Amino acid sequence: MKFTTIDPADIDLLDERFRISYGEPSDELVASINAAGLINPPVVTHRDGRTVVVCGWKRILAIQKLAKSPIPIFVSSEQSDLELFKHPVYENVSFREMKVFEKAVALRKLQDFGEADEELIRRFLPLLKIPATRRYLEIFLGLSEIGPDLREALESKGTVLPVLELFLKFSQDERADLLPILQPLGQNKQKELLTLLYELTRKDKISLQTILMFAPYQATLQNDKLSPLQKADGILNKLREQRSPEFTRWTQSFQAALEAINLDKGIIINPIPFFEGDEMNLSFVFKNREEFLQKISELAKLAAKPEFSDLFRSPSDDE
Amino acid sequence: MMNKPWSPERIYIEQESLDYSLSQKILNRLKDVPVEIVSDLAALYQRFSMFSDPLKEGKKCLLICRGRGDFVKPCPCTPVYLGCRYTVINLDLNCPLDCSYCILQQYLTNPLVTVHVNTEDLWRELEAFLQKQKGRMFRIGTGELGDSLALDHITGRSRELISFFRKYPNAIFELKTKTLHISHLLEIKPPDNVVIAWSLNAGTIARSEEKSAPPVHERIEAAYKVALVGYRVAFHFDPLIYFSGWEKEYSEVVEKLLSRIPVDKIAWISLGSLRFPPSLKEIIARRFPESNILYQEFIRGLDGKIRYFKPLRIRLYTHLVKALLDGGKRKIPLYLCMESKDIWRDVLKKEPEDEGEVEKYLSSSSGCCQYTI
Repeated sequence: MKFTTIDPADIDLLDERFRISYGEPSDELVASINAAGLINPPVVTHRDGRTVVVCGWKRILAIQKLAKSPIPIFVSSEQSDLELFKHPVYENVSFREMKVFEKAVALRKLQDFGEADEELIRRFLPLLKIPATRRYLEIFLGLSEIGPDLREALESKGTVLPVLELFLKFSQDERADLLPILQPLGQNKQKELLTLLYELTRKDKISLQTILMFAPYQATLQNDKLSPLQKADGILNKLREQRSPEFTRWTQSFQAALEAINLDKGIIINPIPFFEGDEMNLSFVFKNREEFLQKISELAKLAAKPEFSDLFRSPSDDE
Repeated sequence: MMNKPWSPERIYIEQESLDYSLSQKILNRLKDVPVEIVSDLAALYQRFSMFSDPLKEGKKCLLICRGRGDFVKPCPCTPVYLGCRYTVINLDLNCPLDCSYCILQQYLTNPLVTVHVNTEDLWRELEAFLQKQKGRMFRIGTGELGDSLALDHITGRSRELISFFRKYPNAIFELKTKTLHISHLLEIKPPDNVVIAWSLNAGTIARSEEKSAPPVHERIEAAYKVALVGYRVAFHFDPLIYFSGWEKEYSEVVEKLLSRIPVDKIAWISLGSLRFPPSLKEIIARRFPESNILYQEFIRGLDGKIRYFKPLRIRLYTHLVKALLDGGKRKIPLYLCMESKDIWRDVLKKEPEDEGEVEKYLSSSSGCCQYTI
């Protein structure tokens, strides 16, 4: 490695073969270089008579903003792209946690430069803090195929790996359709929405587009009075109903029975989760003996109503 | 389909297990199979994790090693739901069959078909356990962490186990399989306390979800043969799975079963519906992308496992129970695996007080029970 200086204008910034991180340099980095100069000089190499960045993309972009020239630089004479690309990978992991998509890009480039899959699994997945199995390699290679626009949108929300993994189950076109519904939701709901949609496409053997064209979904999506979050929540609720029709029927039947007996606000009756048992939970709040007795008396009146028995009927009883 | 006995493409043997007599017996039987001696099992498992589908690759290989943990354990069953106090013997791990719904895909970290060769430790542990169970009729069996007979042509364990349990008539010993490997069983005199059991399913499910397993009618035929020489047999309709045409196909299997196997030879029949820990879902989806078993209506049960919504399970059980009671003249002991008391009551018109009652019901020597359904 040779240490020298260079005019940043002589660097070919269109050649991004060794680039891992995307986006602009932070204001802090620009301010730091402005005040203290390049403490850690970038690394470049020569390819086909051009100067190509190996390590320090953001530093070089910051220098461009500051219009500084010349700058100190290391020049590597390594001829193998694969060996050279390992420099930015090791450099990045040494001082920060790389983002999911950066890891995906790094692994894809290592593979494209000729690194064997076994070596990627054995050496680079642990280095990137990814479990060392082929399955994870395949997930990350899949993520590297997601285009920059979607990648940025997903990254800005800090979308977690399990959600991204589900996202990969959909085609490129479907992913673009999904994004507006997905983005307003938190991680758990994103995961649930993708799972439900995927399972419905499999269960009913229909496409994502076909599902979203169904009238109840369209009514929600085209309702201008709803915020993006309300639309996404509305779609999620409808998907739950479509995915679990029998459970929805039971829930609605139970809710109707509860409404019919007109429960006092302080009294709550719930079935066992998912109606798994035939028992029910009852809860109420009281602050003294009198209130306790009053609630008990209300409950006794409630139990005397004929409609009370309907709480214990299931929709199956009517079949 | 596994009509031909399974043979591994490669054998891995742990260095310290070379001298066990079972190791030598297996190596002799599989002389033509390449052998690699390994000293670090964790490193071996790590090698398999390099494969896109480690389980698929693991099913092509046999690992011979010592069993480190306890061989005899209470069946883990599942919390909250009603168990049957079954005792499991964990001998071999994994099996060459590749059923899409198999829990072992998620449960075991070792992807290889594995035989534990420290049999002396097993006998010692079993002796100690059985000494403590004197006076208690109970059921015990292999087949929890692998098919009981899938490797029997290689290990010959069935004969040894049956001979062992012959001395303990209070223990009802069950071998549970989907295979047709009954040759060793036919060579010995069947003790009264040994039950040979088959997992059965609808033809469509057997074909699409039980890869490498023989067709259901062949399993029934194998059961017929062992019943004919005097064994009691049992059947497990587990997991019952929803699919288009399930009612007709399950009825057909029951009809086929009861037309071939004498009712008085059936020790019990269990029913269980598809259930699995949430983490298995992703594994099934990945390993069996063409399978549709994940897309019915599921809920998360009180034990945290994914299972069909209760009315759907009741529908499945009610259909099977009616067919079994009608065809079996109400003489076959039926039970539900990992179900709630209220489903027992709805389906079997019987609500056991606790697991002890289930154990007593299934472990009586006559094994008979009257139903009021």
